[in-house]
Amino acid sequence: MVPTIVDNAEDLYRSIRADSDDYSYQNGKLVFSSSAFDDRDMRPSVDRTSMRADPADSRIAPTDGIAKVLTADVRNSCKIPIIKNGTPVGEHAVDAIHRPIENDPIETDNLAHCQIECNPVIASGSRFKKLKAALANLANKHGFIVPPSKTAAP
Amino acid sequence: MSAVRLVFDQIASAFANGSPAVSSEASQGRPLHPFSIVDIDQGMNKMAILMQGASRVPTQRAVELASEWLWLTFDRANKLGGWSRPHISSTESGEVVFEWWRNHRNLTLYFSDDGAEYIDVWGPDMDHEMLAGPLTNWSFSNAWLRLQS
Repeated sequence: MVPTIVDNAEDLYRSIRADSDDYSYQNGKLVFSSSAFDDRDMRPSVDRTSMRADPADSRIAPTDGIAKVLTADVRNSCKIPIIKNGTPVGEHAVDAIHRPIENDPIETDNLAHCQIECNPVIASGSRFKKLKAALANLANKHGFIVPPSKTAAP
Repeated sequence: MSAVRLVFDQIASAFANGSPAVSSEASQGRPLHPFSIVDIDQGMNKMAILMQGASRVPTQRAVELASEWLWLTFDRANKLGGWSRPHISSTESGEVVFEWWRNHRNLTLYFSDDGAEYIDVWGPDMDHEMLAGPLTNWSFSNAWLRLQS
């Protein structure tokens, strides 16, 4: 499948493990931890909504909940010009990149799969910590759009 | 932001953890809040559980550092006001993470083999709505006061 541009108006779904440290309730209010967007390769995986009729289909495990962030918000979370010798030569940016998974020897096919990536590529853990904080902050606006459950749905 | 002024502690050892020990001016001279060992115990237990996990297992050094800072944050926050037990988690990189939320603000502390960092968050803009840096008594005290403001 040929990857396509993720539209600004699309939601991005993130699967959140049930009963995990990825979220907590503070004075009764749900908050997502930065750990909810942790990723070994510093490119958190999400699913794009234009290819998911039902957000529940984005669950990795059957009891997972689903959080969401808006693509436009993700793109707005970082826009810093890179200046060299007084001249703008680019921009630090965050984007949702469509990375469909198809015929992978390890991972299950997922044509809706995207990764939240930085340009330039994140090389420092500190920058990734800020990205995780930004994504958790954005997800807190929406809460769970599919709540986690104790038992798998039938 | 509130007009709380930081002052140097008279009773705490100066420059512990590489930075001066401070309190809010208003808290000095007052007795500390009743010591609650429960929060520390629960935090230590949580970290022990994380070390037994199947994934995101923190490193020994990260847990040791986080354990030290659990006491320090408790002490600092009790003096400055507003203590609450942190949400504790871990990362794929073997770090221990402490988080607090208050209104639209979030304070996150990371402990790893390389040391301790803080991120003070009041919005999703990575460059204009976050402050980050090495965790010291000084940076924690300032970040804690911002969280309470």
